[in-house]
Amino acid sequence: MVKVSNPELLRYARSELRSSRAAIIMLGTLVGALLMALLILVNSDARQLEGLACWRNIHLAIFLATSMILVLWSLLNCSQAVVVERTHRTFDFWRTTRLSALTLAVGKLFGAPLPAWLQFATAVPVLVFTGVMAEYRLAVVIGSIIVVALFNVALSAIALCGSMRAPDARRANVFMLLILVMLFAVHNNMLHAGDHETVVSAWTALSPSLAISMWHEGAVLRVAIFGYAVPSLIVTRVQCLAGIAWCLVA
Amino acid sequence: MIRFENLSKEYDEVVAVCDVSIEIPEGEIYGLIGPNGAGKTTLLRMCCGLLPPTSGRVLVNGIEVQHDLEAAQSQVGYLADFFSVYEDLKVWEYLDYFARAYKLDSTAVPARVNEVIAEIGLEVKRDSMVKGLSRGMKQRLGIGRAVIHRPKVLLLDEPASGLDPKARFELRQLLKHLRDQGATIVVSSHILPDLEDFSTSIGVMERGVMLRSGRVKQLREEVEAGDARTIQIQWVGPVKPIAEFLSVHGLLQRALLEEHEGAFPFHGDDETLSQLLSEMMSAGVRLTGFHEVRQSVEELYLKLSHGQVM
Repeated sequence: MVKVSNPELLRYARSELRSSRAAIIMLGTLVGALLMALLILVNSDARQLEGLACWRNIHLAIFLATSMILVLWSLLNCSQAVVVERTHRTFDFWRTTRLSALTLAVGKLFGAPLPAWLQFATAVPVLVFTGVMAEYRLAVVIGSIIVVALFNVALSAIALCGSMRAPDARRANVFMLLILVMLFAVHNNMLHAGDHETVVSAWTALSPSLAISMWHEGAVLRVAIFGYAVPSLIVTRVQCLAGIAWCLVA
Repeated sequence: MIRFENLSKEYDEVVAVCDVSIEIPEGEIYGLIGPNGAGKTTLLRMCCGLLPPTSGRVLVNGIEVQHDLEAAQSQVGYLADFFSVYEDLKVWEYLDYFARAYKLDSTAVPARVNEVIAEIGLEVKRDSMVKGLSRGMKQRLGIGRAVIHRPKVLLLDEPASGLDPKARFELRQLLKHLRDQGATIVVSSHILPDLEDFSTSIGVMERGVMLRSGRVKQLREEVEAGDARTIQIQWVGPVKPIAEFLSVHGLLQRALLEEHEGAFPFHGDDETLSQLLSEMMSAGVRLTGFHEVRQSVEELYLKLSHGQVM
């Protein structure tokens, strides 16, 4: 049994992952993945059903769906995590305890999106299975999952910072929407850039979606940093780690 | 145990607390009374380090709150006037969370949680969800949270507000129990009868100023000094012997006598009063009851303050 020493994380684990709720999330994820697979099978022609294309479609669809759910659910929970404590006046409790700001931040960062993480973790074996069936390299499948997880932690950290600053829940939601709009803008920019250029703007590394997609196809998306062409996913990872560190220190 | 030294707090141009200097000895239940906006909450929040004072200082058990916040907060348990609890936890999980947050030894946490649950009388609700508790139970759970780390000082801001009579009674019993265990308790309230039962000292605040502070008995004596004491009596038999007795002692004129009970004003100390009682019985008055009507905390407050009682 995993021993959690962070009281805030333990609180979230107890309240968010009660057995009935956890079972619903896990079952919902598996059923959702199965339905997506069936939908793709139904819409594939006979030639595709026999080849890799079908498994690849299934893998990418489940990967995309579970990643998006992870990011959106985490953003929603983290953007509310601190502001709700303030509006419910539970904030003062913490200030009289001996919890350090870092303990609280780490507890919130990983605790608030726990249901989203459970959903993603449930999908991991499915992703590995479909990835193997699609004949993707295991390193690509696992590596992509790690990048999404890291990206999600970084976004959650930014949302948590916003929640700390927001005076009420409504403004925290507005902040979350701004993050989503920014992500959409980056993604949109990326699609256009990816079509025409081999080395794209460094801004593209803010979102890993295109780089992950290309990685699955055996290509490497490169971004220009100080005149050098650097693999986009490396830049994304560095950006994520820097963002997480900055948010926790802040 | 708690000392406020020239404590003031200003918000922009509003003076919330103005030059308060009081000392609350160990083991007291100190009732902080005053109307809404008198500065009670601000005073309590400064005491537990949630608000920095504009000037002056607060010492809890000899520790200056602003200098050594962590040490001071380990001595203080605080319950805010309006607070929420984590509704999606069970009762024991809620207390367990705070026990860990106060960095109690993790091996001792389960025992301490059970001990506090017993103290606040929620044994049967130990495994219930917090959201299913009544308001009174949540208030007791809040107090349980405030005492989980065994603080020497307990600060309760309007703890009885919004509770039904049964829950208020249970709260009073709980506070007495905590006092018996040696805690020094400061209770702010504008519902004065709540404080009547258990306060050993009171402080009267208005517009940020501490008008008076001290033991209830001492303040009562100060307020009543020069006033006549009101003695209430009950007897059996006719009213005539008592009327004659009071007349002989010059007390009949302001006395109020009914069939079997009455009251009269009396100037004098306890010795003289005792003598009067002896003489009354010797004169053939068949007394069944004899006691002094003391001023309630509410009456004291009205006399000490400018009358802005709720």
